[in-house]
Amino acid sequence: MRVLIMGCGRVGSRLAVQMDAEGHDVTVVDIDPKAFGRLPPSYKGFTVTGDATDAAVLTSAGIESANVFVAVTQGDNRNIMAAQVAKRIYSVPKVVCRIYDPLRQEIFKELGLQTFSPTTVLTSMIHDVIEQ
Amino acid sequence: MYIIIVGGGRVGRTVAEALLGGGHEVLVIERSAQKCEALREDLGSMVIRGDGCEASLLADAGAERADLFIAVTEGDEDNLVACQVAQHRFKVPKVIARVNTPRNAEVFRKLGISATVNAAETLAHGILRETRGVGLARLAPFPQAGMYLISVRVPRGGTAVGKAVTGITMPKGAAVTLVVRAKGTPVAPGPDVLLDAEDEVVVLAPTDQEAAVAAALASRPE
Repeated sequence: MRVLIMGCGRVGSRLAVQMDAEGHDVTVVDIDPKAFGRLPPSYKGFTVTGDATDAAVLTSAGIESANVFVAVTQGDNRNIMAAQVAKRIYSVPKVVCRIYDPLRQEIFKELGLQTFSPTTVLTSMIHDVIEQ
Repeated sequence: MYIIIVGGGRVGRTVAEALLGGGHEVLVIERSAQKCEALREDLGSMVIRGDGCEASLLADAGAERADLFIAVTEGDEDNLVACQVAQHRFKVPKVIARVNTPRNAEVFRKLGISATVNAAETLAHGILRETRGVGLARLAPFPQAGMYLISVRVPRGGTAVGKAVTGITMPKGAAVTLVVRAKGTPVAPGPDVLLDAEDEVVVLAPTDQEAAVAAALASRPE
């Protein structure tokens, strides 16, 4: 699979390394080249520096042939915009998007995006531990 | 009308003032406390501090009864999301987004936000409109049709001087809509309208034919 990951933070870099180790064709995009320092020397995938809401950056990162697009930058709105561009303009088959704000997550889930809210997930996990 | 504006910078403030002057009910949502304070002093109490993409804040702001929603922050992704939230969650009938990166206008359109205003293009348009009389000026864009209403001044000693405006061959798809005489009198184009130096000819032209229109009207003999 060709996997395009936007945001090389803790989640993005970790996912990139995992998918790369599993033999997938991985490209990570980040606006800050220093972020790629999170990738170990064993990482064999690609890195692209640039703003992933910019169509030119997405094209050079190979979005046209991507099977999977993951938006995990620090900005909810940035993730939402990039995920919609990937899904609706480039028709990437699988698009996943992180949205911290649960209310915003709900709205964009209704609009057809596959979304994760770490806030909701973590809250319910902690709640489950307390209730055990 | 009840109008919500997200972003209280220079653009948001100017729009708010104009709409308030037009008798509308206006609310500005601004993230920075400092800007909010300054806005409150000038606009009164219709300013709230916060994130204009947040559904709970928009609910408090009465977004469900808004007639118009305008997002003019400096972040394109923020403007897009705010407008989408307003459109889908609060069913605001009309939303307008500012785009800071010109390319994004097309992206916004594809994502359901059809009314966008691009600062760079608007500024360039304003400047080009002021070039009236110097040469070719763009008066109004028709982006959906790929056309521009342009104005070309007939130069002194130009090949078009003395010819009937209808006798000048226009490039394909271009049409003369008006002739403005040097004194400022507008006349409808017709076979009896002979062009004179300094006349301004207003033409509706496909964007890729602007140079050809200028060549037809503003050429000088070799």
